[in-house]
Amino acid sequence: MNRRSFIKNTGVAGAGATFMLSGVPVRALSPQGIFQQAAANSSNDRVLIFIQLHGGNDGMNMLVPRDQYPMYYSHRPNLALPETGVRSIIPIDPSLPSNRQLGLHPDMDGLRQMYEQGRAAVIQNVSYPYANGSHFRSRDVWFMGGSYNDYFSSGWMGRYLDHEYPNYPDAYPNPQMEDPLAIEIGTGVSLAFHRDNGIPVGLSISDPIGFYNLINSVGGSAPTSLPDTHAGDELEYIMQIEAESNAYAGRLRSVFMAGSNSNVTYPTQYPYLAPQGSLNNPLAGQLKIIARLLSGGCKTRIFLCRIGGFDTHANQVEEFDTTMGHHAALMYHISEGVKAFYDDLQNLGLDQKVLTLTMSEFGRRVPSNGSFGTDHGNAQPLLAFGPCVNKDVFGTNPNLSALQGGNVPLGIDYRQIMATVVQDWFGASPSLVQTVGFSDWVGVGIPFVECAAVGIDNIKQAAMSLSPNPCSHKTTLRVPIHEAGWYQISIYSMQGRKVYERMHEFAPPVYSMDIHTGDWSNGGYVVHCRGGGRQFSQTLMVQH
Amino acid sequence: MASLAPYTQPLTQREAGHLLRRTLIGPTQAEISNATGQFAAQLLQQLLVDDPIPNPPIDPLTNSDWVSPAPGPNNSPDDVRRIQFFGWWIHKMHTQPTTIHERMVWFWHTHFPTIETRITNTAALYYQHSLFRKYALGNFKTLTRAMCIDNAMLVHLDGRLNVAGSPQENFAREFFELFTVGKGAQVSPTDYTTFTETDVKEATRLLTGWDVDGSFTTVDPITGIPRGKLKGNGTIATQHDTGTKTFTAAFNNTSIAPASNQVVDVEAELDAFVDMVFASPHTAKYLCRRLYRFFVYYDITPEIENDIIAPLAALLVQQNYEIKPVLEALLKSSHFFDQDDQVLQNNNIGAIIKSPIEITVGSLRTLEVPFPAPNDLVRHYLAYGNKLTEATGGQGMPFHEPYDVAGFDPYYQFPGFNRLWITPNYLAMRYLWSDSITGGVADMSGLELFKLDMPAFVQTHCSNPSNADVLIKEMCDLLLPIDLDQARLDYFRDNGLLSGITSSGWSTDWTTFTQNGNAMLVEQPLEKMFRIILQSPEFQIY
Repeated sequence: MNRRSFIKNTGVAGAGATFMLSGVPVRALSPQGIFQQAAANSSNDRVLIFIQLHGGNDGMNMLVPRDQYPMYYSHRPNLALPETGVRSIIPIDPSLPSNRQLGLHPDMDGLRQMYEQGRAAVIQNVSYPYANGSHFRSRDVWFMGGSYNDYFSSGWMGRYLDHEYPNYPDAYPNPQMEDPLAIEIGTGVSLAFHRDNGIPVGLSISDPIGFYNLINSVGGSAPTSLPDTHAGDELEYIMQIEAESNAYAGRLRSVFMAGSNSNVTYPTQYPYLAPQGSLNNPLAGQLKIIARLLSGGCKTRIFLCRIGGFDTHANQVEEFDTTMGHHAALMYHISEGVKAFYDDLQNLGLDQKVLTLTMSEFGRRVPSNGSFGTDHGNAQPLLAFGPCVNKDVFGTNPNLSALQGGNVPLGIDYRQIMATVVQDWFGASPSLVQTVGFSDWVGVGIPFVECAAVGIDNIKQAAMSLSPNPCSHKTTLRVPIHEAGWYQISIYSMQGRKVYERMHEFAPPVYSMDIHTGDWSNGGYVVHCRGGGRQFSQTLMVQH
Repeated sequence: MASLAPYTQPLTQREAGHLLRRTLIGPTQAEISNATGQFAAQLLQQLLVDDPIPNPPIDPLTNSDWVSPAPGPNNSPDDVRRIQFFGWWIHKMHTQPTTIHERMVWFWHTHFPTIETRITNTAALYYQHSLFRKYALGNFKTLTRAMCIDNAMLVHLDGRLNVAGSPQENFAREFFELFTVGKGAQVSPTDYTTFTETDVKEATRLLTGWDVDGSFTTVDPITGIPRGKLKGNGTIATQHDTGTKTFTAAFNNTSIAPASNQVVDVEAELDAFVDMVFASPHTAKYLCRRLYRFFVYYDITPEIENDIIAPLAALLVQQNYEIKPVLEALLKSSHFFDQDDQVLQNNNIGAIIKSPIEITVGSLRTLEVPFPAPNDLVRHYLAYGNKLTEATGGQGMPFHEPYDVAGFDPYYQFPGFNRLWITPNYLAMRYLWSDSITGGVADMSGLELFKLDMPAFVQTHCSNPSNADVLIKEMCDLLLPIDLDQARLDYFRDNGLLSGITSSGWSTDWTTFTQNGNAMLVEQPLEKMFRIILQSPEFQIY
């Protein structure tokens, strides 16, 4: 794919395409919003990672409601995880009231640790009204960001990125955004990244080096004119994918080569009994690539990983030990994989800017079936990971005496969570939230994101200052304070090594402290200050 | 205004090529040329014909097949026989006669997907495949009924785990959603218009009590192919729910109950159920939409739904679900040949993005690349079974192994459909495949398995290869589904064939080759030519 040249989007392809689905009308969102401040908003470099659990996750065996254990057991005696014994459910937070007391699957100790470290949260009973028992339709709904009867041809992540980065793909890559807007690890591109017009914003890669070598060994120049037919539309689509590949292959390879993982060991195998095909960890490698790309300076904002095997209609446990087996292996893979990932990111000094969410098209039925499995269900728990997450269980335990058709009913609409992400994590303006399609949900967000984004509106609040900067032996940090409280100051070298971390008690109006840098090596540092629901970061240069 | 009115003009070369590209997997130059000037209706008489039922795959270890008698200790292990089965099938595609049969076998495989790793016995897959082969141009209802109790399907969608008192909904749900009525607009929490959650539960009850027959001795009297059997003693279906099943308004509130728990009555109940589902108007429409997307174009507008899908569905019902008349009506229509209106923008010639099957097997057939013969069994299976499935896997289609039960995304997933074959990785791998054709693929010892003999091919498939323009034009006419403008033809000529040489230099070299047979002079320019054409966006469509 060298010597690329491509036609500027003349609007022929994809423009005005009417989307129909088996005779069902489609409501398309308004295509291009007015969004002049995209450049300013891009100063928010936060990253969102979705881990898609493909098939419908059995949340009831991931997080067991401890307050209703006998009822849990009676619903699924052939799958129930034990309450006591060597391998029993792990209580995660004794401080919570009994109606939010949960026990983790015994193979999720990594998740327990992360929760205790303030790096994980649980959100219960997530679904949407009139939830669909179909894998394909339900997954579409989650990715589209709509309701049960919406048929968008775009995904909400695509719409978000389309407005953060207007004029994709023609204006990309550019010096402000050299990297793909979104990356899907693997080889397909899910609906999540589709936009209303044109090619998806997500680039799928599985191996940045191999990808580069591959891209550069094939292809040629595109035709300079296209027929005005359906064939021409398909050609234009193909050409844009080719151009996108050329544009990004070199960059991703450089970023990947520049980056590195720390010495954290990523898990590879489930250590207990499970079917052969379930033993390998399919997630760890994907997260490892992401960590390395981020450490190399990749500015991609959204990543999607996918792991399959959750459609556990049968044989989700080992018959003689319900704590082991196929589903247990999946729980282990998620728990240990994500923990290794965040330990790696922390060593690299990147963990503060990464939020990870699990998502699955639906949960599974609470009563098990006769095949040691579960059928399609409704609401499910979601996991959120990252230092910027509020360590808590959001939503009360499902009432196992009041199931609907054996399913956990809707408690929290998935869009409440996604709206929270778009507004609190990405710092989107209200008009952007509306264009993404979540304005109905903003007022009812779930407060699981602890560090509110520094969006445009917040920029007026003076950020912290470091003076002098560059400094030699000492610099003075000043932070405007609205409410007294404890704040954490962490300072990292550019190699990701933490050189300072302490809690300080701040009081209004301005907190001021000296940082002594006499013993530090020359170079750049990043100073983070967190507290009072806010976060500031600033680079500091030390030159002796 | 789209129209099924038959197209009655003699077919141009482009139109003949279009029909053959859509009905065959990789038509040859001779096939296209023979079809040019014929009428669509005539041509379809020849295309809509069953191929003879082939002999089953031979196991090199025993030199006989493993179907009858069943495989024994001297046979290859199951995973090796799996590759033999895949290779045997791909060989059939590569060497197909000039009929639509292989393409229809593929269609049914995409309509009733089975994830091969869930099936531990290759014979079960082979027998399921035999149903597709037998009913390729046959009766959709008969085929569907057979799939309900096909051994591989009973494992794949857990039908064999569904017993009275312990229902398992997997098959019933996918039976409605994927195979028959499809899913319509969701009008309430449990109502998808074409079926409801209650219908899933009732159908689940109706489908209880079946088991696989691993001996493959239960032969269906109608299909003649081994299938599952009811759990019990052979006369009584002991694990079948014999109560009355009441379906919803989506199925006219029909109630179905077996006359008794005798096997014969439970089988009759299954027939009644299939009749009921096929009485729904949605069944024919759903299948016709799948046929349309498979043969014509992925986007179905309201106009297409009214003018093409609805009449085709009515025809399918009127023909009692025989597929052939519907295929004929669609494929000889003025709509199919872009002749039903004067609007260019909705033309469908060249509008489908190839699947990895068209990219790999299709190119090999069009370029008439020879493969190790069936009597060279080990290398035959290596080439067809291992190498080709590796190639399709890298292009996003692991053979017989879609990621989930709905099959490979491009065949059904809104809104992208066949565009989902094109991602940066897959596209690059599709381009890279051309190197396998021109550079050849060898076995572990370095002995060539298959390779396009470029000079020989050009010599027999071009009217005047020494003329660069004629060569480029004729190769593009064969390999690409649409006409190219002069600028594009010149690009292929100057950056491919004539990259680094002049037009008269080429002419001289070719003439020398025809005189002394020294292919070295012409190999390199020909390789560049094939590479540049096969690694183009135009080659990705058909």
